[in-house]
Amino acid sequence: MSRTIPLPMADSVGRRTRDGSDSVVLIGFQQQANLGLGYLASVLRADGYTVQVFDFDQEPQVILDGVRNSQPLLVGFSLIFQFYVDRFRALAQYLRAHGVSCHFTIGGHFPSLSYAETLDLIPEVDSVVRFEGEMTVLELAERLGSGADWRSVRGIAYRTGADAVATPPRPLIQDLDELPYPDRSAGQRTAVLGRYAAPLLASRGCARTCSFCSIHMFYRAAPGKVVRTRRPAAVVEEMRMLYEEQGATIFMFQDDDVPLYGPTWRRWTRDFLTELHRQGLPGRAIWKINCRADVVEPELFADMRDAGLYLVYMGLESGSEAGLETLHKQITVEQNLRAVQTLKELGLMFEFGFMLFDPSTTFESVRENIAFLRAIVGDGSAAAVFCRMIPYDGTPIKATLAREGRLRGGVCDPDYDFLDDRLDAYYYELKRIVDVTGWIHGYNALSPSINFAWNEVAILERLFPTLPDADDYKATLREITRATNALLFQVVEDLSYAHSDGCPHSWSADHLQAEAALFLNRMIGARTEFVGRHQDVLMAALRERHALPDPRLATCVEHERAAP
Amino acid sequence: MGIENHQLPESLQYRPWPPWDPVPWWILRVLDDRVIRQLAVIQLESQRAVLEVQQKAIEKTLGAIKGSK
Repeated sequence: MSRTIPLPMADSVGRRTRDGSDSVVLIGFQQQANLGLGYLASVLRADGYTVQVFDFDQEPQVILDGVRNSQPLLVGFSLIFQFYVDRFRALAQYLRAHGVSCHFTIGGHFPSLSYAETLDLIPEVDSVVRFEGEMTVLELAERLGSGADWRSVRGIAYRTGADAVATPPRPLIQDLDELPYPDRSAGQRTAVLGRYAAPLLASRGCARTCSFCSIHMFYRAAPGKVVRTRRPAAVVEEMRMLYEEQGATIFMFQDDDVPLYGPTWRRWTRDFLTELHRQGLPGRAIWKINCRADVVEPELFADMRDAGLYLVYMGLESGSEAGLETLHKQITVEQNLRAVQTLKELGLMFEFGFMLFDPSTTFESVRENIAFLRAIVGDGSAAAVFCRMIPYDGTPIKATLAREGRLRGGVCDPDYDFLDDRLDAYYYELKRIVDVTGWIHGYNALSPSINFAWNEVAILERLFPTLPDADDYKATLREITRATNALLFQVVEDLSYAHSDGCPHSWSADHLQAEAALFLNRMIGARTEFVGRHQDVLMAALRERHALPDPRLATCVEHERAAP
Repeated sequence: MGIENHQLPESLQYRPWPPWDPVPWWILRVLDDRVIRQLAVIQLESQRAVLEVQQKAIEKTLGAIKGSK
């Protein structure tokens, strides 16, 4: 099913009547949906434009054919991570080489903050849309369509000869409820056990000032209030519409930082919970949030759980006080630990972001981090994941590293030197051994696969009838998770002592690859046995109202019904 | 032997969400050698452009430092 969601339009959006002959093409990654492009598309459509959204992963020929058929006024590229800039250039050049001559523009965090570099790196692009793009793209399309001067549009950057110039930044959108609901028709719909998951936003912006993050820099560089929340009733109304019209029962909030910090936003969350109960969604729909550890407290989160909260993603980032200080998290290790403990006691599933390596890393801090990870997931409650901090453009930490002469790499591969040379060798050996095995990163990597299985368990417990041996399956999954974490931590520690003290180790990528495959097969085997035993009950639950709004899923069920 | 994942009803099969790390593998999977070479040239030109931008930044920084003496 693929359609645009109609919405009452705000005065500032639905100003013009068009016949749909003016077209705009938007291109970006669509994995797990791209709400940024979704909002752009719905705002443009509400103004009468015909909008086509393409997934960057589609074959270039398909995108080229679509662009040729659309004859758009402009093609807009949504660049989510700066290290994909060369790939976007490849596509832009491919389109230009095949005769696409319309206006090309690009938006996102990196282009907004580093517009001159973007224009240098992608010469095929005519302009950069900076910061929140809805109103800027709308005005840009209007100017291009009418032949007016587009260079005076507020909130863009463009070239003049060898230089790049930026027009005054456009203020951030103050009332997010003025925007139409985002178009969710592009890309694949995600489902877990046949239950449709829909992404949505309750707010934009982040009040915090983490040194590695460009999000708060993005919002602070434009005029206006940094954090804006939608009305709780409007958020729940969108959820109810998605539930009733599209059968969504899992809602994934993609807010930069869900409004929970301080009395005003806690009151916002209380109002949101009240509205969820008023609309009768608890018990029928569940939701996931992203937040910081310092907002997790037992009473509020218990009420959130009772209103459908099932998964909490926290950016814990470090288990070392020095690391948290370097990352300017303004939080303590104790707060991180307490948040995890609270969620466990409330029976809430959690996932987390963690930077095992940051510019302040020492061998001692790596071991502190491993001790922290053992404390939170050594019991097998979640699979361990970690990464190395990346110095994105526009972030305070990048400026610090540049000042210290430690910044390395370029736009596509930003990096830095550690303070201790031995750590560079350690990191690259660890990366070679762990990454090659597909333990944490990449398709079908072990830890994310296990965490997805835990996600399924949380959904099974809340959106399906109680299954008699669910506790046995959970115990098996927990044991597998505990064993994978233990092995991973051992490898990280052994390699650290090898590089700091010259202790020998016997780990190899081949060995770990074999171990990871065994763990994965065991986990999928246990999961398949469990789901297989209960497939009749699960399929019956899926056949209930709202469970199968997607014709593709309905077709599957009909097919299975007809099978002997 | 027990049931296999592909034997489950389609909606109950184990299908993890794609990782939040999009990589357009279509470049190698779909395109012919000529286009791959073309993209390789683009990639290298991009790298060169990155280096040129950095070179400019170095020159500007050097100029600023020398000018401030």
